[in-house]
Amino acid sequence: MEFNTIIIRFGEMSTKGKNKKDFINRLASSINNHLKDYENSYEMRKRHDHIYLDLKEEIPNLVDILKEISGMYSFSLAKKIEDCDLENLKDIALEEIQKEEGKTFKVKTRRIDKSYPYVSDEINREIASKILKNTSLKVDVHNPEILLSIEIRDDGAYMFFKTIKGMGGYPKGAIGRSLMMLSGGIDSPVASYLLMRRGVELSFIHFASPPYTSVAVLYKLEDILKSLNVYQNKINLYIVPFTKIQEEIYNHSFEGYEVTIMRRMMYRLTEKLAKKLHIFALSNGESIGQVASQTLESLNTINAVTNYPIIRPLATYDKTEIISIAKKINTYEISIRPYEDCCTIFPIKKPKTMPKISECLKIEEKFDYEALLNEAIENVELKIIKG
Amino acid sequence: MIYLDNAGSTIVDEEVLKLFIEDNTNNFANPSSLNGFGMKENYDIVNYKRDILNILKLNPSTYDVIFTSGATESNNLAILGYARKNKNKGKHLITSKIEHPSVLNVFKELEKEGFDVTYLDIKEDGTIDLDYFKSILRAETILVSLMYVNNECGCVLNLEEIKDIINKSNNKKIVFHSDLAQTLGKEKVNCSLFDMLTISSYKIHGIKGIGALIKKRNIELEPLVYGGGQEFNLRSGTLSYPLIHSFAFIVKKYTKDFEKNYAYVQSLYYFTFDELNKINGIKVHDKFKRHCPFIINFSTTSKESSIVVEALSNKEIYVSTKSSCSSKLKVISHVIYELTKNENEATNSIRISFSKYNTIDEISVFINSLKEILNNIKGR
Repeated sequence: MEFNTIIIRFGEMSTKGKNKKDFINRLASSINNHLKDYENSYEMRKRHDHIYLDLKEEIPNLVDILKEISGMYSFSLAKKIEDCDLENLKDIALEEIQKEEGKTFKVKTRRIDKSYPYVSDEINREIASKILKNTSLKVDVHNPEILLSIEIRDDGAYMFFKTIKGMGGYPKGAIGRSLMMLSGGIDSPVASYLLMRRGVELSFIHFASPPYTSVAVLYKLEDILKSLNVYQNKINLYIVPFTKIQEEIYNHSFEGYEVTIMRRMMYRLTEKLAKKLHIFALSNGESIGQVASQTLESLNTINAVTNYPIIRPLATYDKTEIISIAKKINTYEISIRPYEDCCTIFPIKKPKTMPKISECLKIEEKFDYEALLNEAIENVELKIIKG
Repeated sequence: MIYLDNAGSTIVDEEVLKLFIEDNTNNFANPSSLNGFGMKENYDIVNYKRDILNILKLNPSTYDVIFTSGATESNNLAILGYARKNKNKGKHLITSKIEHPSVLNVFKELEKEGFDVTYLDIKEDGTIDLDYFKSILRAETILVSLMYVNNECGCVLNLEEIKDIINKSNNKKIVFHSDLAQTLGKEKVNCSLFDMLTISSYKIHGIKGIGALIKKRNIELEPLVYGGGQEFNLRSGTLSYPLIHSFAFIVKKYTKDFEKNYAYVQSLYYFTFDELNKINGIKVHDKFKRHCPFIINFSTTSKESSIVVEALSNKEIYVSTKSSCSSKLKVISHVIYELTKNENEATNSIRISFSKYNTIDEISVFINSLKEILNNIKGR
């Protein structure tokens, strides 16, 4: 069918009461942003229940673009018919259904404009009988191969066959901002995607320890964030110089505690930066049990340094699920490049899986980490990655 | 910037670059075209080939030059092309354990095709055991492929003696190929030892994307690419006059100054060698009978080479290592492992390689930076 209108449905966010208007506006601006190259090709109408895009000309890859916008439950490629006269609708329905593939059909009408002279059932019956008379199609009300949907509204009738599932979640930024810890591995980009999909706007923090980590990690991070630009077209990446802190940990730590202390320092730094940026939640790609620092005991010990909420979208995901999402969002191939954020400085033989807070405090007493952390925050470097 | 990775790639000679740009404006015809423009270029190319053969002291009536995209393709064409074409004569092939991947991995492919490959050990002094070599030659041996100067450690293999053994064996059909990518212009070699030899342009300040396989005319090869039948039907694809001209030019220019460059680089080598040996925590790989001065390899014994290289790199001093800062991929230098049988040294080896443009001052800065880095970085 040649469509001229896109009907966009909100799903989850339509339950959100008085914030709804704000959500719709955010979704609308997110759509406009994704379609900014085609701003003259469509007009947008915002209503309390749907957003309509009236197409003036074809937009290439439109379906794929819409699928990547969070806050959209589903959308339909519809034909808008201004003349709602029943005979006219019957004619058009007959003409259009013949272009579809399948042997069985069902007509499903919703009469939103209650002033329309026929009720939904009458319209269904009238249109179906015209189709039955003029084609070899049969009716199947349970599993039709062709579902013809019609919505009668005050500005016309909308006819469509296909409804496409959107990304779901909330529109970009509707839920607030979070500071995401980004290493360059497989997990953190996936966690970022899941958060962005829920409408969380992300800024990123990365801990760089040259020369123990390679500058190539930074190229890799930029590539990863470019892949995420699809969901958030401007991303701030904060790079924290971490070498001195690493070296001090190396000098003072008991064996097996290096990674625990390192993570505690990273959490502290993330909180400090978040405060500075007026961000109220931290997030990362931790998945319980995956490595020594991600056992529940470890997480308890590490988490003890901050009161900020830490969102871990991957907490319960297993590695194969994470990898399949990473492939879907095109970050997997980048993440598996050899340069990772590994800390070769530590001869990690047996990292503790059950580190104790009291031991951590003993180690941390041995050096003035607060000064080092503040110095690191002062020397943070910002990179802006734009789509 | 201090660039000490000249075995990896070199800066392009200014005259070469000028020539290349001019040629792309003035000599852009297809040398295979049957018009005056193309035919003139074709005539020139024949002369460039002769020039290259003359410089290498090879007889133009015995040897052919086949231009390729570089040493990797030349090695592939020589080894794959020869083995596949001549498998009816025998299926035994010989190479060494310290060859470049563009040789080693080709032999691995041939093993899958049913060939029997002997990978020779290299002794700590960088030579091949001659008695052993003698003992493995068989009636089915058809190809020996050995490099002259090794690209990672600079040792020079004893190929003169190997050639002698091949000559004295009863098997007259053995073809001797050598990868001279790191040898041309950097070490004196008698090219006529070889039936086939690989050379490359960008290791001697030429442009990337051109190299050659030189082979005796009577040796038959199976092509790797088919098409318009250029280069004796062995390497189809339009010839690039500008690249070929630039290659011939740099071979001529670079080899003309060989003695001067060699003596100069040798002075850099001795200085570096001496300084490196004074540093604690470094083992220089220097036990070779013959050593090409363009390359020095050493291992960091107490620190990870990848971190040292990264730290040097952050100071814009560029050297080369095999292993990267990655816990997943422990890459070791197969060459250093073969020579030392020490995994730690092979994991933590660093190569520095010179060009005639390097200076003693640069080396001093490098040495001081290296000392400082070894003192400062933590960890193993």
